[in-house]
Amino acid sequence: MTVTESHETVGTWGGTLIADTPDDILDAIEPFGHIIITPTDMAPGAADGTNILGQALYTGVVSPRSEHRTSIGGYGLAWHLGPGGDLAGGTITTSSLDAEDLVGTFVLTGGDCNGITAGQITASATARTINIKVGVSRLTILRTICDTFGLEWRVNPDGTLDVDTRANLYAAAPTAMVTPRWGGADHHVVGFRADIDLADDVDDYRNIWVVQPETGANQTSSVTNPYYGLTGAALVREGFTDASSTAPGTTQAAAIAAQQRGRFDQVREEMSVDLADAETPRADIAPGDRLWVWEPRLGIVGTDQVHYRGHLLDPAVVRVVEVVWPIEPHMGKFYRCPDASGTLIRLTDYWRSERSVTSLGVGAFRRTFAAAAWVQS
Amino acid sequence: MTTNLQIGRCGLDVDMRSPRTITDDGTRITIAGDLHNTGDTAAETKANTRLLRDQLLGYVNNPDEESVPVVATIDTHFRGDFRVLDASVTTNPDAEAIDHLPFSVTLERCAAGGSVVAQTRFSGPLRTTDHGIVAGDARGFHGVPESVRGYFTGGVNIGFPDPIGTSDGVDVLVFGEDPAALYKSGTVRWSVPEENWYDGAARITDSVDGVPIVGRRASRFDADHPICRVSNGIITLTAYGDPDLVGNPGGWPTDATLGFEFWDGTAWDDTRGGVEVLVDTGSPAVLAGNPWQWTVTRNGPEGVAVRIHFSSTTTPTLSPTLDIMLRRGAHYAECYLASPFPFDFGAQQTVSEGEASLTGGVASDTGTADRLIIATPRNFTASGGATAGFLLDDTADDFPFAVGIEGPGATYDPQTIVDRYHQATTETQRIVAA
Repeated sequence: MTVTESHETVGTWGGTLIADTPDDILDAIEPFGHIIITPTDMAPGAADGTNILGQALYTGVVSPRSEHRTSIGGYGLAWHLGPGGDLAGGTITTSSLDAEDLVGTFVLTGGDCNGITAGQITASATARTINIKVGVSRLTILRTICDTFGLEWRVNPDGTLDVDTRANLYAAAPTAMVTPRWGGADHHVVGFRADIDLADDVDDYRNIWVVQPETGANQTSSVTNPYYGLTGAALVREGFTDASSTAPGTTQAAAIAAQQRGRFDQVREEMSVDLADAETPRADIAPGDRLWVWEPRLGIVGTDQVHYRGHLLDPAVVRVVEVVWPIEPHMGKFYRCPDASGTLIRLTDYWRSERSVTSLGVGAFRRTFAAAAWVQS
Repeated sequence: MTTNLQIGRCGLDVDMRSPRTITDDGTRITIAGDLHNTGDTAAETKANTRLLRDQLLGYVNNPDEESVPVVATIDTHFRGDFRVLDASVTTNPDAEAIDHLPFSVTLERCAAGGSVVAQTRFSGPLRTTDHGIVAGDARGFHGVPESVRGYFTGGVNIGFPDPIGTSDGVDVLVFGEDPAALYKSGTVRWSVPEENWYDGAARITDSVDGVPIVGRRASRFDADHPICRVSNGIITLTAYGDPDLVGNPGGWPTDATLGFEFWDGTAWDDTRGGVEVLVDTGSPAVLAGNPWQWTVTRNGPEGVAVRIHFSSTTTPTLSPTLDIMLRRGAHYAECYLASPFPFDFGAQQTVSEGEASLTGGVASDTGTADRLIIATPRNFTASGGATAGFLLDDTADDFPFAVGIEGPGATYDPQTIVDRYHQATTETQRIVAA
């Protein structure tokens, strides 16, 4: 069974207990409790419901149970902020506040929302005004704040909420590498052998964009399509925007045309990465992290230079948006009861572990025909 | 014994006897029999038979050789290029006593038995360098067996290749000097008879009279496997195992000293000595430690790479690794030392022959041909003394460098070797439908 963690979303998890799990253990597992996965197992009594959170690789909320209560699953901790969570009341137009104040006031009201507490929150003093409507979840408010201030968020396994710039939350340079030929840890790079695939299409490709302003002539922005049609003439893929109600003049229309054409004059790519023979890659790769990917047969190369396994490689840098990873046999599995003291129950001995590969979602990319450089959208 | 069957290297270096059965369904063939080679002594028979076993099993799930050439003089119907789907060898204690190891291997014809060619893809960056060597200087190259036919570049005029003599008794043809960057990020197609696939190939051996190993694996140095040697028939670099582990039967250098030899056209020449790898260039300088284990990270005919693990007896927490990568047709090996801590690294020749400066490296200065070359893209201070070598100015936790030879016969001048090293190339080859 696996955990699905996605960047800036709630995520899910699922697991199965063996049929011989004692009834008192099954009785104790109740909704709203938490499953806690640690990188290695710990002896009974080695941790309690509080200090184990600092060791957790993953913490999830228990929701559905089935199969005589042995099949359990649920969601990531951000579920506590999400739909059905504690709603924000009333229509509020804030005075101009900075992001920290907005998070403290409307997401973690009183500093604690269903156990989610403040972690690394941006110290930027930039202030803005946002409107919050009645019945909006705190997760929606959080996303609005992040969109407004150009920030990102994540909920850590210990229940802390980080809200900060990408640069402050994630390392600028990758430390992990995936290639189709090599895996293993070098002194300064950890790597994984992977089945790397790429799907691309030009469904949305436009090399010309035309914008109609309120007054004046239509404005066009274009680049040359390097491919030719059946008669040998350069192929044209054209887009059009009627901006007569929003762009009063030709200057604005020209700017819109250039902007729109720039969005669509590239090939759309989707990369998938399935890691083979890897031991707990989740400990090295988390959603939001940057990652080196090297697969020259698919044209996946970049400008970084990385010594790995005796070769100087030129991998592309991509961003991991999703990690689907197996709960492996050697990991610790614990259940934290939804009681006031957080009673901890060790489930490792009763967990039915299954081998499967870790899959990485790398999100959508756009690539120009001419350049090998990879640009993440 | 006449060679009856070769599956990749298995049967090439040590003869393989005729199989008992060959089952062919048109797409796949299954070969079964006994692995056995009769040596001059009982010990040699045992060693050769085990070698056949290790080579055959080395092709299972081998990412470096997705397919192998099969040569069958018993029936040319079975020759061609095949993927090794699976193989098994039964080591029965009773059978081992008489050195007959039952085996079975299942092969699948490449391109469904249609005609095939090799396709080589080149990729790799111009090294970030402190020496002003630019793309126009750094040159890619490609080495192929001299029996190559139909070398197809897609219309790029590359001129004539340089024939380079190897210890295999045949030349390697080295294509290069390409202004259109074909050997930096492109593909070429070529063809070679199955029996010549391994001519001038890069290879790894683990004993003095060693036969190439197949596949990737990790090994501890011991008395039977006292060295780790990479060679392409033009140069060899040798890491000598820790004397405590191997007993040092050859009176070899200890610590992180790489032995270096080059093929002079008729014999291996070791007069250039070797190269000491330093992790602390203070006085006295500290060598990287004793090699105690090694790992094969790549093992195909177009290129091999090994990782030597060092252990310092004076600084137990210091455990650097040295990667050595060597391609077919190369006059230099690419080396990369990685350390857990930053140090001032260095490399220097073990014998005193004087020193000549190069852009991005140094050369021994014997006043004759066949000069040893040591290069690095990093800033360095040439030793400037009787011994060719350099010390790095900047403290870092890694140290890329190259060790090479201009010869044999001054085929390339030393600066050309340094420039070629600056164009890092990861070359992969596959068998594809023609």
